[in-house]
Amino acid sequence: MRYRWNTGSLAWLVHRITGVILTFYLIAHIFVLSHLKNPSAYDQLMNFMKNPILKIGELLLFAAVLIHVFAGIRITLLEAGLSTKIQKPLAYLGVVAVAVIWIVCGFFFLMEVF
Amino acid sequence: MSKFYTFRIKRYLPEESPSSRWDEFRIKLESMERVLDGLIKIKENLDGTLTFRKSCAHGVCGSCAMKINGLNRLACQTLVKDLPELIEIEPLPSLPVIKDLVVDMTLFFEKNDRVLPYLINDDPPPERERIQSQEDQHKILESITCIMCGSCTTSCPVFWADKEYLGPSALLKAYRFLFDTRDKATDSRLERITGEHGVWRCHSIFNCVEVCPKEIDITKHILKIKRLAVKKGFKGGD
Amino acid sequence: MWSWLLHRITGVILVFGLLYHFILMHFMGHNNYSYEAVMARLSDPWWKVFNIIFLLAAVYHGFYGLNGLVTEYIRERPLRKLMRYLIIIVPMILVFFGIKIVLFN
Repeated sequence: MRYRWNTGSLAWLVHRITGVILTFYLIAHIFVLSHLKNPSAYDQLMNFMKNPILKIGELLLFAAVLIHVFAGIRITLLEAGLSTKIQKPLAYLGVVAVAVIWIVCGFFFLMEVF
Repeated sequence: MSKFYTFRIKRYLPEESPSSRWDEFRIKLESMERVLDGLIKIKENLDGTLTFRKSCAHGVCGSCAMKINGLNRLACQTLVKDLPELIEIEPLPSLPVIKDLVVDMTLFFEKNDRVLPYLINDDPPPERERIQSQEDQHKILESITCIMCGSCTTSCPVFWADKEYLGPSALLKAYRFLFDTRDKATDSRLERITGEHGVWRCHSIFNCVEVCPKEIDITKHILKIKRLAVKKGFKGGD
Repeated sequence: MWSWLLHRITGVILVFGLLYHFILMHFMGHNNYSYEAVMARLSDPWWKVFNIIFLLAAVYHGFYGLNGLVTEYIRERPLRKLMRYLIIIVPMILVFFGIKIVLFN
């Protein structure tokens, strides 16, 4: 039988996975943006990014950012001395915050596009 | 009230076969009996080759730690009435298995030795013992209750991957002496646990806290060590 | 210890940096990330400072995290050594290109 998951280990797992995704995205992000030398290349990329599939991708990336940020805030607060007794409520609060922010911001983000 | 339970046990008998297998035993147990009682009944009545560690059978010695239904726990502290009818038992994860449910704990105890698990104080001893106030005792009371069963360290996903990591048990032992007011070896002990595979590898996963049979909040203690190390780092040294 | 603490500090910087970054780039309309707007912002020295700090914090935070994964998951010594080199070299290249574009466009 697989080892049983619990709140803390799930939080750790998604924190890790999103962290790896974001680091690899960061490499691509910096490399691509730092190689745009002129306005036409820049505009070409921006038009390419208007593709709906890429917009969905951006929303997923935004979700990864939010998950990573809130998992990080939880761990940092605990390390800074917040009681470990509330580690589970903190994780659930983080899930709610991520969901609310993602849906609200995602709505505005798509409004801007369409 | 008695009920039938199926014990599904992961067997490893190196003299019979190099690979492990699952055996099922069906036994009747009283609701207030424990998993350990079931194992003893199986060994006495059904299969004498079943091998597991036990000693005190009262949650003090820590020798019957094993993975029961996906969670590390003491067989002597787990009532069968709290489990489903199918009880799956495996040895503690991530340590080499010697036979059936018996694992090689050498690595686990090596980690423990690494943190200087004894009181260090070179001041001339007083006439009788080194007295500690009640308040000072309370700082380490929780960490002293550890029975070193190995449930925590073998439940830690970091330890599963990184066998060089000290693990929650050894770090808790370090805490027990770091925060003991009679101990004088804070710096040398901190130096031993702040390396690459030391306290910084703890990611506050809380698996250790979930399984500790003594209900010690191990992560809380490790976090305190981190804060102590940072404080000492700013004061110089490190 | 210091490398660990810096990981936490850069984490905090990134939370605020990202907040600013997202509001500016995604929630204030199209013109905010047109080529002209980006270039106009880049002529402000404080914006340059913010960008360089943001860049350094993000690169450090990401690669310290990857370094932890190498420490925990990669057991083969030669591969581990190679990964350790990559974890030094790749961020240096990123910081080089990043600072170059911020300072000299």
